[in-house]
Amino acid sequence: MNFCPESEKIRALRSGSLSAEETRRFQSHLEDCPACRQELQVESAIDRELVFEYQPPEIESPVLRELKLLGLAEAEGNRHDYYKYLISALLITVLGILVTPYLLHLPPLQIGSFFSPDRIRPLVNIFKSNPLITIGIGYALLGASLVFSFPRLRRVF
Amino acid sequence: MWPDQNEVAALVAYARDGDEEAISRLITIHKGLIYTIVIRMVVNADTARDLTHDAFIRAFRKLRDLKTPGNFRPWLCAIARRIVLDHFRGENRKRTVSFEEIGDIAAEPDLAAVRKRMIIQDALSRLNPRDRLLLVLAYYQGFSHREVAQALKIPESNVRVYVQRARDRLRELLKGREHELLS
Repeated sequence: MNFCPESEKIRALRSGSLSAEETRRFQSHLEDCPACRQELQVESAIDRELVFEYQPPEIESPVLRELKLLGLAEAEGNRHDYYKYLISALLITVLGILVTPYLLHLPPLQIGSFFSPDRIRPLVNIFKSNPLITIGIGYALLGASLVFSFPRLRRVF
Repeated sequence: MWPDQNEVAALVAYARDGDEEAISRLITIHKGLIYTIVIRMVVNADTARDLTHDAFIRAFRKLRDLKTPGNFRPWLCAIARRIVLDHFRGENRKRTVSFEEIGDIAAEPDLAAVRKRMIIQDALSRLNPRDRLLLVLAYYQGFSHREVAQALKIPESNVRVYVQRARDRLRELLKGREHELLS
């Protein structure tokens, strides 16, 4: 194929970066230049092939089957979730231990004496005299763990 | 027609929870893209099918690592790229293309079209893997420069220049075959 120095403009023409005047001039050049016309056709043929999308095979079923065998994405996800829930549970427990004495008008927390019988007894008495509180807390914890542990349930909520 | 980012993000959220329907839909939406990327990279149809399968398995098992669910598409492409590069490490790259290797496209009735596809595929297989992936993604319908940048982990501002250079290299490799492409 003969080379034409004007063929350098083909790229600019295809990308639309030529001005209106340059486009008009180059198009009239194309009419007289077989080399540029051929180059433009070759470039278009390459583009047509590059945008071709291959017909993919059916892989949905094999992928799902293998994911199930491997424990699905769910398994990996839950592992991460459990870390989150464990950290949240620890934070709530620590916060509860720090805040409960104030709520129950007990003396401020002193680590050394925190688990002394004097401190534990009022808490035990509260739960003993109000079994509904204990049951309520139990159900709340059970419900929360169900909701947060099972992604499907969590989505429903 | 590609679904919008919000729809993909919602499907990713369901897939993270193990929803099989969402996983299946995400595969259906993206398998054409991933298979095209992979077959352009490895040429062989059987290998491409296996690697496409592996890319989806790896993606769904690592779905928790995806920080922005709306970026699922470029993230998946990056995984496919890694899968292909891992495959290349395991064996020497094929340099020439034969009818047998592109098995499924050889079944196409238009032999002239298959011939042109083989010529382009042959030239692509002689480009380096990054240039190949750049061209496949940049020319893939609806793929933005931002997504190309994310998939290849390159600055978005460089995408246009890199694609143009890769395109020029491809044109260079096709020198002397113009008549075959226009036949």
